[in-house]
Amino acid sequence: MDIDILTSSVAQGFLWAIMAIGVYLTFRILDIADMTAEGSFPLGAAITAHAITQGTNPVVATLMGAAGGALAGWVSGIMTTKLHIPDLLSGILTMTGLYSVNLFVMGMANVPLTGAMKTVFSMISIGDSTTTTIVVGGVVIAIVIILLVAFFNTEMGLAARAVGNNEDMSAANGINADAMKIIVYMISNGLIALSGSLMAQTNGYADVSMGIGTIVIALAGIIIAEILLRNISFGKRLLTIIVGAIIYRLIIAIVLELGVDANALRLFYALMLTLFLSLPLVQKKVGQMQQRRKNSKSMKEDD
Amino acid sequence: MVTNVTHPDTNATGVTDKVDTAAQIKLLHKMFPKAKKIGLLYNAAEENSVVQIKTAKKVIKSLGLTPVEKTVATTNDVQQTAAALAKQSDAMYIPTDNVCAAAMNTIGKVTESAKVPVVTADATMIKKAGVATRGISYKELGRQTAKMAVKIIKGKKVKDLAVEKPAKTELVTDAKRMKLFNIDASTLK
Repeated sequence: MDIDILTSSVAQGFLWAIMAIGVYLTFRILDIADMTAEGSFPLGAAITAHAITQGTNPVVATLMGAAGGALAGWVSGIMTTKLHIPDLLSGILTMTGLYSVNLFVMGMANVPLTGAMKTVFSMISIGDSTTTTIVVGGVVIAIVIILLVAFFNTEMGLAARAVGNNEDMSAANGINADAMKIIVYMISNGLIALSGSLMAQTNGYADVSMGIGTIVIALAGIIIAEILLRNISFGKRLLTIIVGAIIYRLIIAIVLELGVDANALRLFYALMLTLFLSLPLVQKKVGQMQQRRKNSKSMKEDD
Repeated sequence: MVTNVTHPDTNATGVTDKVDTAAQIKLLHKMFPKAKKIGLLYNAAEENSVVQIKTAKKVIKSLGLTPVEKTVATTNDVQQTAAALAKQSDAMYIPTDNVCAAAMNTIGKVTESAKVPVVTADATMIKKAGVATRGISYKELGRQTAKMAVKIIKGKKVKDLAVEKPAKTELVTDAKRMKLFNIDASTLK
């Protein structure tokens, strides 16, 4: 039974990690709070679900979904850089507009994917559905990380990171800050839409409301990753985000197993998450106390 | 719309499409008599679902069974919550809940792999996740309402026409799941 919780957390964690990595790119690299995520996540799902119901090859449908997300990112990017709308607001505006776009793409509020339709998960059949999700999710995330690490170490990628670090200094060195921002916006939302697309295929439906609350899920994964290991290289950070996303799912799964009052579930998620996030601080304080005791002991011995 | 069901005081009457939760729970019990823990999944923010769950819990307890509840706030919660609930119950009942309806395909996948049978209050959801239910045929509902309209046209006063419950409910089944759980439809008539 316990292995069950671990494997399903890994499966879900892999899929949500793709979104968390997407959010990380704008949130930490560009230092921008991008709310477009709550619109691009369902956009990826909507495009892919619609395409699959029309008989499109699932891999093509998934890539179409990701492309849609990149386009949404471009829109937000243009609003922030060219129209000088504050980044938080740009994201909210795009997210709001995308609600209608998603309804238009799907033709209805909820598009079910029946068992007969081919998804990227039905293309490969390994063991049960959790194992298939882990394999497919694992492959996708491995490709994503390899491509991202490669890109962000190219001249353009480094320029993008520089813009997020110190925009004025980057511009002074001849970097086109606006262009770099737009590129990161596009990659970020492309990944978020990719996550939505995969989520729709594994869940069996795309729903216009499935973006609500997802930015919290993504940020939780990122924060847990940063608490676990601070100050590490870009590639390693992406890997820890996967761990962060899995841990978040694991915490939820553990609370669900506890059998607490149905209405108190979310309170317990918050409590357990707070407990987990304060562990490093507790560790530090305990370490300091131990060091103090050691110091005072050695001082007494010196007398 | 109507505050007095037996003597409608606003100028409106008709047939209600309120789900017969008790009949559906009893059907679940008849199909799966060995199921002791009945899982209930719903969105606590929907008053409609809360009311149905309250009735369901009462009926479940009166049958000597144990209700196990879990709530979901958004469709993204459904995958993990339904999976956990499936592990903690022998059979599940889903009321007419908007969040669960949107995510019904996920509920179907999760419960099928956990081999836990589901009865949905909404007959249209049976093909996505359920085994069988006592459902409302909206066509029959229309016919029944039309008969009431005829009575009004023929002179009967609105306040003398009590709001009616659906006279006919139909047994809606999913062949694949009936087979999976070895239920014979003829025993349910």
